[in-house]
Amino acid sequence: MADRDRAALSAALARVGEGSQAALAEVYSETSAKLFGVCLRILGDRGEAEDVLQDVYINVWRHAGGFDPRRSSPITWLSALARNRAIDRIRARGHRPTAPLEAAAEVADDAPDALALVSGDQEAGRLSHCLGELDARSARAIRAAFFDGRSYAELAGAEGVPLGTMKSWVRRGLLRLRGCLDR
Amino acid sequence: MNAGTEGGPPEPDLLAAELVLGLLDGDERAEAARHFAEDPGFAAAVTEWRERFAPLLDSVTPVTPDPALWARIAAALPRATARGAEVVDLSRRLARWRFASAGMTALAASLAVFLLVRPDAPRPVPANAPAPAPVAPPLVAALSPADAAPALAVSYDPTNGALLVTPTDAPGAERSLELWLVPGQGAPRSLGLLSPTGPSRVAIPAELRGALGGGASLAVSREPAGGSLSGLPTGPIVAVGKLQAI
Repeated sequence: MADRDRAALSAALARVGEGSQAALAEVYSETSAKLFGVCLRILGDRGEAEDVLQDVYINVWRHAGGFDPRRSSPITWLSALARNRAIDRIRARGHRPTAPLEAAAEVADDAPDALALVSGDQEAGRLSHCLGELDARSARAIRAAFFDGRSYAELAGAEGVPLGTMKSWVRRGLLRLRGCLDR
Repeated sequence: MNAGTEGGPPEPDLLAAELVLGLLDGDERAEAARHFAEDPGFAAAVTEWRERFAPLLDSVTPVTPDPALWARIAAALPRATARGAEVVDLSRRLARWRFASAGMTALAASLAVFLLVRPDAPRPVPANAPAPAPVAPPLVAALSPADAAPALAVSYDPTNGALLVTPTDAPGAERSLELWLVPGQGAPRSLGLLSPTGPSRVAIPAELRGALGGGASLAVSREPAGGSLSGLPTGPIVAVGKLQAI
């Protein structure tokens, strides 16, 4: 996102924090396609994704004052909010089909390419590269946690390994990822 | 390489990553959320991991939602609880209580937070039973001022009236930070001075606990060293917010 867009979005969020509905409409028109994409990616159902998207903007309305432009970019803050709400929704479904992780990984496998496509963004290129450096089991588990909100227990169940083994795969992957990203 | 990768508690930075990814359940999740509220260093690590993973969300293809959705959202916006209106109203009320101040400094409230549910008393649970239903979640708030003033993380345990306030920046040494409970009606009540250097544990008097759980706001004012002499806030309000379980 260009710096100018980022500044404009931050300013609009600040006005939302002051109670401006017009500013919320502006934030919505700039970000709803992106956030709806995130909700849909995680939930896989248009109706549910729209319900969650509505919830997301109502939360933005209530909590825009909590956005601090010095700590986070506005789109990152909004996307994280959308992801969290979508994952809450998945968790609220209660029983979840224990689809094998391969299914999640397949969908996610196009992510590196998509990442590369937006590689005007250097950060995205780095993350893609570093995820590619991980052990396949670690990378698959990290993606499944990120996009499907799977907990350690669910990941272990889906892979048919003990909980401790799954924790160890993921933690090793996280350490390696951090080392690669911070290099 | 054995920094907690083998099943025990991980190093804090890994715990932050696990919280961001949503890997934790039950008590582990509640514990991590408590760290988030109480430990600014840990909260910063969480923010850092969120930024590290953000490009994954950037890579998701945008999809235009139903054009009718905006109208639905606009109609559903809670009027009475509009955040901005609350803050403005609260700042006006606080301004009325301030006697000796020269000009209101920037005031902003924020409570974004993050929260979690924790059963209010640990109960023995059979190993294969589902997690117990959440009861009396702890309340959490982050009071973030507009500029150059201390930001605070607040957590409140309704079961014992203990409020934990952690500043992330130190105020000037010649000043004290005083914490106030601002009830829905009536004058602010001082909850005491905050430690400028570390977490402050504040025991909420029993008669005020109802107000705190019932939506009263918290405010922090900068006062002369030793605190307000009038019993009401006199200095600039540096942070204000409401406790919430989110």
